[in-house]
Amino acid sequence: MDWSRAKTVLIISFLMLNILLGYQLWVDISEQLNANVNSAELPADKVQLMGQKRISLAANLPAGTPKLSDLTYLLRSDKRSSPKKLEKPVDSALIFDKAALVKALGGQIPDIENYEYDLHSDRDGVFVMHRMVDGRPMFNVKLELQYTSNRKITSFQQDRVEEISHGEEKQVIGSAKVVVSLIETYLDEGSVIADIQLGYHGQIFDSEKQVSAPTWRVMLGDGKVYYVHAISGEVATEGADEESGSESPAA
Amino acid sequence: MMEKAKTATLIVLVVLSLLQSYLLAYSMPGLGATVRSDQDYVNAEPLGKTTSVESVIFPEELILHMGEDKHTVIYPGTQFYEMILNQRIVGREFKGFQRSSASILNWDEVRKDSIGIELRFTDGISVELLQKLLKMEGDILFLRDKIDKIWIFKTTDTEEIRTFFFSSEEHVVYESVRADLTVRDVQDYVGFGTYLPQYRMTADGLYIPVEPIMATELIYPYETYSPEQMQRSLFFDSSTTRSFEDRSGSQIFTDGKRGLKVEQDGMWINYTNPAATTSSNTPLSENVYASVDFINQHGGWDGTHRLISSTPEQEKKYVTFRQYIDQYPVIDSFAFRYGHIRLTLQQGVVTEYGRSLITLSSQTESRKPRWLQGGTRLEETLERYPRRGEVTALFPALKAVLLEENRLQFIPVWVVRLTDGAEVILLEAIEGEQPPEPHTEDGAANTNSDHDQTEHAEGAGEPQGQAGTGAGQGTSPSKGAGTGSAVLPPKEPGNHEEPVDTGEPELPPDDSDGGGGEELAELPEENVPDAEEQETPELSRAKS
Repeated sequence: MDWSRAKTVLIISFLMLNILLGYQLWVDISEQLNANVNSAELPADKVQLMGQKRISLAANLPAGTPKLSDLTYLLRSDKRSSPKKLEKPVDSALIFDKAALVKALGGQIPDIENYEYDLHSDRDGVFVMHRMVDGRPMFNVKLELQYTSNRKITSFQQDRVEEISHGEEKQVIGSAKVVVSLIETYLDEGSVIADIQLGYHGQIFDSEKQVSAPTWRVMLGDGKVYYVHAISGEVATEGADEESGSESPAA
Repeated sequence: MMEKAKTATLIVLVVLSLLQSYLLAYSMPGLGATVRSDQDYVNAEPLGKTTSVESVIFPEELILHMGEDKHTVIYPGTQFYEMILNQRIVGREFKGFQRSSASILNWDEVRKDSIGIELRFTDGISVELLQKLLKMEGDILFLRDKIDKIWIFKTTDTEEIRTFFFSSEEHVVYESVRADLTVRDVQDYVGFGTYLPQYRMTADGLYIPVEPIMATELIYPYETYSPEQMQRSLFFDSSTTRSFEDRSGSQIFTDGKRGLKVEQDGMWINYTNPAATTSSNTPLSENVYASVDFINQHGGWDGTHRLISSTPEQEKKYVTFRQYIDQYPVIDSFAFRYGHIRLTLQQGVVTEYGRSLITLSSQTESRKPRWLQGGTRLEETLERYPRRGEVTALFPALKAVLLEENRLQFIPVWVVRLTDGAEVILLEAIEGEQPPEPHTEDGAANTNSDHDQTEHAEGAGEPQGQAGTGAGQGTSPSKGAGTGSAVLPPKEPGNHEEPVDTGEPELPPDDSDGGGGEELAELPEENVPDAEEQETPELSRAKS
């Protein structure tokens, strides 16, 4: 028996096997890296689908899938009362400068340093700020600053939260996945995705205690808002939420 | 030397391939994010009974026209309703629909003079759903329409049967020119009317019984689902669900997106699950199918329910089912919500779900006879009703009253429905063994006053004499047969022009169980006493 030749044959065949396995492994790993770390990329076929439905993406897809928990908190809202007047109206341009705004309004609006201006939620004559938790907005909890035509902030309406407690942390789904599911089923032709942001959102009940879950908020160019549960991936719209929110207290 | 190097290389390669195979097989644990999907939805325990779309679609009432301006009304769940609708009409085919104007016939004359039967669906039902009940073939225009009444009658001068489907749209009717109904069929249906209380029609089309009709006050023990059972049934993952109380003291469960509000001391729930609208269009009937499926999975059905129709705009969003007990619908009040299941949907996705957590026991605790007023007494009350002009329908129903010790009482009442859809209780049935206004003209029928049940005896009725003279109206309460439209003992048919040779028309054996068989089975057992079953063959014998 020619032992040397047998070894050569075995070496060659194992080399080929290793190359094959190595290739498979490399494909697998690169796929997983794509899905998780580099989630800001949409798969090519979805980009094609976007083209077909004439959906355009005018926002950057945030990367990363952090671990977030749901929040339980006490909400004190003065939504039902009329807006409070500011003693000293301030210049509306301050909204773009957080430090200056906090300085100007800090004495008049409690907790204002915990709120962050949200450009996309603006309505006519109203700036909307969201309460921030660990750097992420709570979409249900707002501070609304009303300004007049002469560019002065004159009054405000504030939702305040207390005793925020966290539940179990879970990894959220990536923004690309959220956008893909919206494109596939929910978005109409010609929609423009204007903003996508990770925060907290929940149904508001007629109670002090409220629960909010990690949620991706996707805003369209025409103002329509989709809330996508960042753990289960379920989709709700702004309109549906407000309706049920206003109906439950009445019921 | 060369050989040693080769051996070493070979060993390295073998080990490497083993390592790579291992990594591939277990695909680099720790790299993947766990994504939860709908498949995680654990449906813990099925609650309640399931049902199908077929069994929630049936007419609210049947009206028999017996000629000479004599009419009678038959309510769902009664023996005659079963016999006419589920054993006879359901097996027929309706084809060749021709659209025409409602003015082609003088309907008042038809009502007065022609024998026939009307199937009424208040507020209309879409033809698509009606096809679950009846076999129909028509063109697309017809299939998209809504029907609020079906009228089958025999023309007076000729021996011809005409079948009209009335569209909810005013002044539009469809005539089914190829319906396989014969003159004998219609005479057959109308023949049943002989045994039933007579009704007369008011100027605006309400049917009022000439004599008081018998009904039964019922008391049922009940059980309730616990809020936790509903929570397990409705939420993804109970570990992420928080529970707290709201300002009104209701218990709330939420996972941040869904909400479950338990109201009324744990007897009513309101579930909300906001959803997004999709761009696709779903047919309206899709909502009904989705609702039935949803209820099957989340809580089930307590007894028979009927799909309540509504206006087209409402139909896009809401689906309501009303509970029937015995033969009457249950009416609730603002103070005590019970007896209906209401869902809000967005294109086939349930976003709100309101229902009772009560499950009635299969046996009543007690039954007590009552009399629903008829004749002038009812008519006068109706005339005195301040919103008389807005009344669109008058029907008997059961008012649910919560008693102590987990019991529910159902009191028969007359209810009026107003143009705005509100339902108002007009009159409560009178207690007593005998009808309150005993001025019947014929004492021909026997009285059957051998009460074998004694528990009702203490029911102090209105002061009235002449025990048993009202029996022209119905059998004695003790028989328990047909708690509302009382059943006369079979007597010789006198008003049949032509003798009918064999009693029962041939029926396709399988079609009738879709709607009716189950309903009957779901009713409490006491409701289908032996007496009734024995009467059925007797009746058909009487006809032959």
